[in-house]
Amino acid sequence: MLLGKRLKRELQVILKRKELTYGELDITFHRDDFRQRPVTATPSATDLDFNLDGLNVVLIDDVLFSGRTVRAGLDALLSFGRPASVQLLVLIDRRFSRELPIQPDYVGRWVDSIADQRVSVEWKELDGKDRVLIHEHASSASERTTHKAPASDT
Amino acid sequence: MTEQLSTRHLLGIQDLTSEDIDLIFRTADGFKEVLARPIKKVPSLRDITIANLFFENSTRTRISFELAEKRLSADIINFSSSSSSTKKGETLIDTVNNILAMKVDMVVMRHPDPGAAVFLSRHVEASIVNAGDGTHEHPTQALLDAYSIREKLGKVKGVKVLIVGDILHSRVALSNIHCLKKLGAEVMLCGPTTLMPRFVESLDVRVEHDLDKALAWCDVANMLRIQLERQGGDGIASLPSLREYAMLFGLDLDRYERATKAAGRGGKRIVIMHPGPINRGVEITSEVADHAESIILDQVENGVAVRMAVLYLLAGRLGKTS
Repeated sequence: MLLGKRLKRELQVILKRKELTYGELDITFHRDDFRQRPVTATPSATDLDFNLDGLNVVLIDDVLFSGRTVRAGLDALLSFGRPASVQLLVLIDRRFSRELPIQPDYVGRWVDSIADQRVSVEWKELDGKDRVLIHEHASSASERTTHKAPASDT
Repeated sequence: MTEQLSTRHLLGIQDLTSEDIDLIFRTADGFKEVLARPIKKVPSLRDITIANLFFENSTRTRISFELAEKRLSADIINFSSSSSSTKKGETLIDTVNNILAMKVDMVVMRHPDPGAAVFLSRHVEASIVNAGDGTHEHPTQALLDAYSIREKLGKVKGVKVLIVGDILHSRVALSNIHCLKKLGAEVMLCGPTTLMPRFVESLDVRVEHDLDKALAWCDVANMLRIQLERQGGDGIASLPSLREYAMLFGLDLDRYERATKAAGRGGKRIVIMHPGPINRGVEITSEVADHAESIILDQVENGVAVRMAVLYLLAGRLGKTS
């Protein structure tokens, strides 16, 4: 969400446009692992009050890993109409770990990591600092890469 | 965020914790948003089959559940007692086990006998949702009522809720009392003495027999339906006449306006609720039912989202032991 908000701001400056059509999508109810999870996921808010018919849409996520979240995102997105096109933008692409044939159109940085590591992104607005963390065995955090969120390359 | 309900079934509000209710409400918020989309359907329950067993007549509850199930992409089968083999002498457990043998995961049941849902949950392998059991509980109605109050007033804690009418025969009243008390609301009951249950003292609520005084106190008035079909079943009528009931306990515009002008409330409006179906002119007149402060149709709308939340959260626990 924060990535999307920042990209929107940058794009408005670059394109000199006052408004960009922007919405937030919660994909909880479209997940395919809902019953495999140990506990049920509860939704966060979706805020998308326009129809997507005929629009060129850029779907934004922070980390691309198995591709299942994006798959669910596409599914959720299509409940809002029939876009002219959908492209995928991610801040971090964890290469070689895809479980579905999904590839990003725009990538901030590629990260090679093994499956039981976890990659998380922290935001200035929430965590006081912009950084990307790779956690060993999904628990203890070790800092590998620290960088600012990239400006949009569109 | 990942949380789960403390229970595998929804049998009554009494089994829920206030955290459970809060989780159901937050999940329902998500489904309300889904229901505002052009395509009002999500695939969450596409691998789940739900049987709707209605051993007692119902229109809105059945439709509401059915719609909730369809919007979650569940497969559903409907079964009502008029077309059933219960008339041929089959027991409840046999009926349900026969249906479950066809690989059904969840059962939504309405039954005329109090405790039927609890009984079933002890004897069959499926998640049970009580859609009303006799005069006992109707948990999803209470949840959608409290959810509608939360939506209208922004909170439930501390809100003064008045429940008027046939408390004795009303599973809606009992579930509402439990639900509202768990969420920290103040509850008052109002109705003829003959329609107050004997166990009313044990519920820890106020009782007032004068509707005008009760209305002057409340923020929300939930006007229950006079259950014509449950009156006089034992040969004793609880009411002299519907006309007398309407005069003493019916809410008309005059009474409404008078109550909002009562001393000490500063003209604060009263939110009007009714679980339906309405007997217009008996417990509530048309002017009040269609009043700007009436949230009767919001209750119906919220019913689908709340039932989706309940089914979704229970389905999330299917096949897990913890």
